[in-house]
Amino acid sequence: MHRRVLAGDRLIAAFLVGCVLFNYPLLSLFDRHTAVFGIPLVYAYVFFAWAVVIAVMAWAIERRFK
Amino acid sequence: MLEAPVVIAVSLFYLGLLFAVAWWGDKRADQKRSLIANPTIYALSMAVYCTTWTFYGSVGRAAVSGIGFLPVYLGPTLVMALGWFLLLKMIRVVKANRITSIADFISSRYGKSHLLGGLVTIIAVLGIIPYIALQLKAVSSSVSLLLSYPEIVMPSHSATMSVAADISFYIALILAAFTIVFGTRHLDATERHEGMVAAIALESGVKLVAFLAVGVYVTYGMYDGFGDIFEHIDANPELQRLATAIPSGKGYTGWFSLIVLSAMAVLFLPRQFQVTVVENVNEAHLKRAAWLFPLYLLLINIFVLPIALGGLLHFAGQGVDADTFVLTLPMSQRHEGLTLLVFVGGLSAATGMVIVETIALSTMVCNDLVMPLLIRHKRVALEESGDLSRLLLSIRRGAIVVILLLGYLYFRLAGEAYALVAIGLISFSAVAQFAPAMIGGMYWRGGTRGGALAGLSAGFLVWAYTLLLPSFAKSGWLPDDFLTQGLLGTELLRPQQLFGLTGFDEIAHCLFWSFFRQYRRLCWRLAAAAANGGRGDAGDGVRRRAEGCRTGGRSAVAGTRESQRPAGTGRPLSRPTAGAIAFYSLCASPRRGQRGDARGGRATRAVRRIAARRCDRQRFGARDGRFGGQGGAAEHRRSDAYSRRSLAVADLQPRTRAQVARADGGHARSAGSQ
Repeated sequence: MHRRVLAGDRLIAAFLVGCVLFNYPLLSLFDRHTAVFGIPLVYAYVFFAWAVVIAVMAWAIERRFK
Repeated sequence: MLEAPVVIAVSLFYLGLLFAVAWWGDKRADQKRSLIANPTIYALSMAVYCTTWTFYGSVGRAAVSGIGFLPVYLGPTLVMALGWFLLLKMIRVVKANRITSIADFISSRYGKSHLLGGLVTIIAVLGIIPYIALQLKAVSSSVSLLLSYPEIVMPSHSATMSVAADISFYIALILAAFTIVFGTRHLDATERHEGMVAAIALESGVKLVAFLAVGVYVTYGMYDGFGDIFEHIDANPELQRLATAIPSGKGYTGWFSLIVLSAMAVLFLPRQFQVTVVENVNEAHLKRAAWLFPLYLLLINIFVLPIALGGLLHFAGQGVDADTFVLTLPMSQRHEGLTLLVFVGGLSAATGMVIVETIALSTMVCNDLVMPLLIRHKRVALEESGDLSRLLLSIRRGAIVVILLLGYLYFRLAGEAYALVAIGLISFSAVAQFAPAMIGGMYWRGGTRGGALAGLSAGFLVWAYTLLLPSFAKSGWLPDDFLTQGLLGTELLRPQQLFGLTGFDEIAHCLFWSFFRQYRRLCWRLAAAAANGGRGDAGDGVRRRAEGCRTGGRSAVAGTRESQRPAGTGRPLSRPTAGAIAFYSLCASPRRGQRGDARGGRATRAVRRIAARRCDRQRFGARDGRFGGQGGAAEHRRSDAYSRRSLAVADLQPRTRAQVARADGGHARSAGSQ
């Protein structure tokens, strides 16, 4: 029971974190002329944040139904 | 190798393959060995979200606004995190009430209103037409590019050709024929098409492979990896801007409104509703699909910016449309195999979207628009004709042809003035109008039919005025003054700066005004109803909830009709009990209730228990009435159990037999004591 409730809460957390990561104030921090491993910062950041959100979702979901 | 006969043969072979898969899927479904009963196939079928918009259009968008192509995929990712709650509830409502389309869903949430269902259908059809035009535009330009191989000649404008000489007209007809064969061979009461879903899943695989192949080829074959491409553009300040800034629309408002818009589109586009909700085999599949689908979106987007930048570098000054880079880059390298693969991928993306979307729309048109009208006006004739299924199928076939021809018409009238993504966004904004009525219908008990009708029609009118009409004006079919001076020369009514609002891009602008209208209408309705009932004061919400329980009906605002009240729920409660119920329903979810129980004292627990039992009986009984059910004992019990489950959103695990027995026994006891 506890674990199931936890998984639902984690998904909501993933949603909220995603909303913050993908939007204005945080996004603007990465909006500058630098590159990470040759990739423009903002591009690298959005894809990285996106992958993190998906990973958190996958973790919350798959862990719950072991 | 890429002569016209080869291209045509490959296209027909591919369509034939899809058809074979669909046929096999249907056959397996008949044998009860479903081909699609697995979460990966389910996630792949959701990827019908990615159309030629994604396949060709994203690159075109990226070539203009850099990373601005991305928010359209971030929105769905966020929604899937909530899909657990939102989609699961939708799936359960659909299964419990045998809902077959989005129009059905909305109308059944507001007392099976035919008027509402018809309105939703009309909005959906008109809203989706630009989207279908987008697919026609993409496929026809890819075909004509391929036919001119090895030269790269930009396709000439359709508007100047006669219809008979226009390749996209024939594409529209072929797609219509294909969809008819695919989706209307036989009638199924649940409107599920297992074979179609299997074919769509295959198509999603094909388009992903094709796009990744061309991405890898451009990034690592033509250039030397990501770093190399970005180094190349460092020398060019114009291109450098694309790789660094967030230039989507007007900065961050544009970015944010695209996220919101796409989040709603992935829920409310008719085809998404069809594959995600109606075609769902087992709600447990939602689990894995909730992260597999976003992963698919991530993968198909990785190479968009490299292809766009690579194309801009490669074709600098040659006047090649960025919307065609995915195809023209391998063409320019004379890589025939890859060119053909890309073409098939684009064809996949287009056919998948057109098939599912037109099948979903034709179901809606048939069940929620034409049939109610026929039944109302020609009752006698229908009863005499006996065999309805042939009538139903021919209505659907007609609807499919008409929808595709309307798509073609829009493509002729307005398609040339816009890039692919811009056309698609017009449709996204239209379906976003369903959001308040849908979500309100699911979670807000105070919503009324009148409010939903007023909200939807106001939102739709604003959409048509701020996005649809300007698209005709921009392509010269309406006078230009309409855009620059407003309706009848009134500056305040300029469609893209309504009431002088500036600073938004056109999508954000439409979104703001249409939602503003919708909410104002809904609130206004509520206020009017409350004033009539003499309860316009504070604390209204609490009393209304109690009232909803007291009358066993659809809240005082909606007004309860005697006939809609299910049997055995009519006994009014005393005022204190109603108060207790109001208190209970404020801290409503059973989960929280349980926690509270564990913490509260004995008296609190007793009050809550009584309230809960009464309220459950009354409220969930009432829900039957809301769906227009007859409220028979069995149906009542089923809907009761379902509602109880749907409230416990976290409770996805199949319950043990003992738990189910306990729940049912408890219900039987409480029903017996009535």
